[in-house]
This record gives sequence, structure tokens and C-alpha cells, in this order.
Amino acid sequence: MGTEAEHLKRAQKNGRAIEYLLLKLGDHPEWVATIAFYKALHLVDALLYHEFQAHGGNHDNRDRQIKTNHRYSHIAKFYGQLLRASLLARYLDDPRVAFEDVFPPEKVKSEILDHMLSQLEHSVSTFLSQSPKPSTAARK
Amino acid sequence: MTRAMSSSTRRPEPIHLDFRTKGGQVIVAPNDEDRFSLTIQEAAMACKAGQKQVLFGRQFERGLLPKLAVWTDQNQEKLERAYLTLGDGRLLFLVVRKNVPFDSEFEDRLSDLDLQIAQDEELGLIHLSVLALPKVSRTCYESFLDTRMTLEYGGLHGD
Repeated sequence: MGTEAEHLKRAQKNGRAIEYLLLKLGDHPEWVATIAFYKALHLVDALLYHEFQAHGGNHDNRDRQIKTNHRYSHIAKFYGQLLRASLLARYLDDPRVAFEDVFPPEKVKSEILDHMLSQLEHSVSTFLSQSPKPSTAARK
Repeated sequence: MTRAMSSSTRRPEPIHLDFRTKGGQVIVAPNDEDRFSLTIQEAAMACKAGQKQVLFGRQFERGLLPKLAVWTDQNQEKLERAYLTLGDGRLLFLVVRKNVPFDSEFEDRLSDLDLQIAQDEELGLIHLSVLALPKVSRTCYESFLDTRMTLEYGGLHGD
């Protein structure tokens, strides 16, 4: 559990870990993808705290809160893509297909970091720079 | 993520779904009606439908299944397999692509589907996540399928 500021702090810490691993991206693409997702998770939790004074709580609740609300569609889109990339990073177990075959290092950088995570960060920062709207609970 | 555990006993075959259009509507037909009824119950429990099982069944059978069928049909040139199963306590639409390298356009289409279903007020009881696997072995993609409930969309890989 944490406040908006605490989640942003954790997101920044994840970002520093990514920067560190980028020095050896070829050795650790799965970890970069995984940490990118967790950075996104903390950014989303910061957003939810900003908007509703309560963060996601668990994966299911967080997922539903951003997916069911049209205002957060852009964020939900890239949060989902980061989640799915991290699932492949963590759970893809095939004798002939490795995570790097799906996301070679240059794709980890261009697609996961410079596109998915960047888009999510930009959208979240737009919301965080505004006053929170009156509480609108998820419809589902 | 909680993965479906491999069982030392034989994994049950997924319920096969065929779909066709009739009068402008998509009709989804399972190949095993008895098992399909149990499937809806499992899905309702995953979505925590509680006392709203009848409404859930309607949303599941007449709403979700046809929507996924249409999407599968529209994207079949890139798909090897498509399943509806359970994952992490909710429904999981799991697809296996025909290729290995990441496909951003395809991933965008999957995202659009995910959000479309989440924001559809007529599917209010449906809790779904989506996942696309690259072209992987049967052993690999089967490890993502839950033995309690797996429906397979037909017509993708020559069957």
C-alpha cells in the first residue's frame, strides 16, 4: 500500500534499475521487460491514488479500474501490453523459442521501453498534472 | 501469474467451438453440450458472478463467445490457435500466433479487443484478460490452458 508519492518513488527506482540493466541489455532482456511492467504498475497505482485516493490493491482490481473507464483507455492499452510482454519474459518456456526471439534487445528498447512504457508514462503524467476529477468508480 | 499445473493424467481435450453466421448473427456451437454447461459454471465462478449465473450465462454465450469468434475470424491469417480458458482467477483469451517475432500491429488489435470487451456495458459480468503467445510448441501453449475450462475456436489450423 502506498500514496501517490510513494508509488512514484517506486516507479523512479524501477526506472533506475532499467537504466542499469540497459548497459547489458543483451544479457537481461527479460528483466528489463519485467521491470518495465512493474514501473508501469506503480505509475498506474500513483494515478489511481491521485484520482480516487486508493491504489489498485491487486492485479485484478487495478486492471479493471483502468480498463473499464474510457478516460484511461490509452493507459490501459499500454499497461496491458507491458503486462503481456512481462508474462512472456517470465513464463515463456519452449525448447526452441526464447524471449529474445520474440523481443530481441533492440525491440525491448524500441517497443517495450520507447513505445509502450513511454506512452503510458506520458499519459499518466498528464493526469497527475491535473486536479483529480470527482470520484468516478469503475462501472464493472 | 498462476500457471495451470501439468497433470500426470491425460489432459482433457478442449471443447471445440465452431461458429457460423445466421441472419447476421454469429452462432457459436460447442461439440459437447454437456461439458459446455459445466464450462459456463466454471466461467461464472471465475468471474465471481455469484447469484447472477443466468445473466452471466447469457453474456458469456451470446455476447463474449461470438465477439471472440468474430475477432478470431478477422485475424485468422496471423493466428494458429485461439482458446478461451481460465487464468489468474478470470477468463483468459489465449491466442497462439503463426510467427515468433513480436507483432506490434497484432498486439494493438488484441488491445482493442480487450478494451472493447471491458467497456461493453452488456458484458458487465465478464472479467477477461488476453494474451498472445508466439508460435510455440504444444507443450508450451498447453501449459497456459486451465484443465477445468478450455474452449478452442475451430477452423484455424486445418481442422
